[in-house]
Amino acid sequence: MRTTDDPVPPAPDHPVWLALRHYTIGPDDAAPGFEARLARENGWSRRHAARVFDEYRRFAFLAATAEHAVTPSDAVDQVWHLHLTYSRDYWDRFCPVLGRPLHHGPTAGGRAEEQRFFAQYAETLRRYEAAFGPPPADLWPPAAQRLRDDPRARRFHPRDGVLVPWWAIRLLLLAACFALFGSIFA
Amino acid sequence: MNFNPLSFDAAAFLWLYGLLLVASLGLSWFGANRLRPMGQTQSVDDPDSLALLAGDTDRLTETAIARLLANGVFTASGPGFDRSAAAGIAPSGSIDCAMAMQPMPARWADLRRVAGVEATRLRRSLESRGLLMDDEAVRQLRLVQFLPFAALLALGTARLVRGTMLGNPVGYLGSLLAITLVIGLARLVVDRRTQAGIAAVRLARRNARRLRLAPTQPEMPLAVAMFGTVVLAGSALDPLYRLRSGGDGGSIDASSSDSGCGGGGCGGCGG
Repeated sequence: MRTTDDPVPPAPDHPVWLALRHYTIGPDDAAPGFEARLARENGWSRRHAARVFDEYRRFAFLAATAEHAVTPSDAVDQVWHLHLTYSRDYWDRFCPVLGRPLHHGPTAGGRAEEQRFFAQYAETLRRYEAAFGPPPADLWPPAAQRLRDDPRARRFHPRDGVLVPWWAIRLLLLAACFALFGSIFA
Repeated sequence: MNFNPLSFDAAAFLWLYGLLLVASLGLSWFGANRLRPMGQTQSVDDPDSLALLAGDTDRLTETAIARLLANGVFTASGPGFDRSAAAGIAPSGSIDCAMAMQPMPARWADLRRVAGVEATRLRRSLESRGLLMDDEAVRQLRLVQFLPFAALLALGTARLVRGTMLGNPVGYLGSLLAITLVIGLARLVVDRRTQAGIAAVRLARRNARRLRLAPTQPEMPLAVAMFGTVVLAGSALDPLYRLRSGGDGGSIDASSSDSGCGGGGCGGCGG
């Protein structure tokens, strides 16, 4: 695994970054547009989806200028997955901007692969920091979350049930405890 | 009008006791903050010093082991560590050398004992630099932290004895006394750092936020020093994380083995 000897080009004036920083995906008149679809499929707000898409541009810059494999956060990976389904845009417009084909490679599984992806994720973050400053922690979580927790996410359809956030369940349990306590000493 | 709290009825005394417990927490915390010496403001970038400031001897031991593993001097071996079979890899630094000279395979307890000797020397150095308090300052701080709870325990015990003699129910008061005792005992543990020592760790953590997310292998000892072995979960040094977190060291679950994808110059993702 190469680490600190892989030089990071300064992002602001790099021709790839200049081409990427305002890159948009898909036909402008498509409904929904790429970011709207991204927001809908992941349950994100439009603002959050726009932020993640920004991070995807940065990730793409790092991928285009790295000599080693790079690994995105789960959120950025969702943008990548969706972008790959816009195959004409991805292969005919996007990759020429990057100057090379950017293939997506899932893990083969196992501990050795986990360690490989940890090293890639760490190196990606190191290069991110060198090019753009500290990565936003809400979009680039710790590696343990990225590699062990985030992949547990599943597709869910509203017709199959109701999603209740854990914070709401905890709040309800707390309220039930208070009610029980109050009824005992009333 | 009678202001003797011992003669309050049970409910009024419990309310008073609860309020005094909250006040004691505040007093203990505020008093300790006021009494904690300023020390000498400075930045610290040496991993061993940071480890001792951030997590005392345990953290220093973890940092040294992480360094030995990252440098290839040690390999994980069952519940302990062994010298690497690779030739020409020598430890550097007194704590690393002392650990590497232990009979192999070395267990956590053996390595911690070695680190303890180094920790004593390093602690004196940090005291002279104004980053840790000396023993006298620690004693004073311990007293200030514990005294409010001692006074409250005395008051509560007096009321408990009186209530028992009068045949009043004292179950709730007994529970509150037990809670007070537990909190008071916990406050006997003193954070030995001066205000400068606390600030130095905070500054180091702020300047190295990325290392909390995922350190590269050369950065792992420093990351462990500041944030603990949790930063190693999933990395090549994962055995040290599992050892310290009480993991069984067995096979990883499906979610972890399925994670990840990457791409790039020759890259991919993880998922």
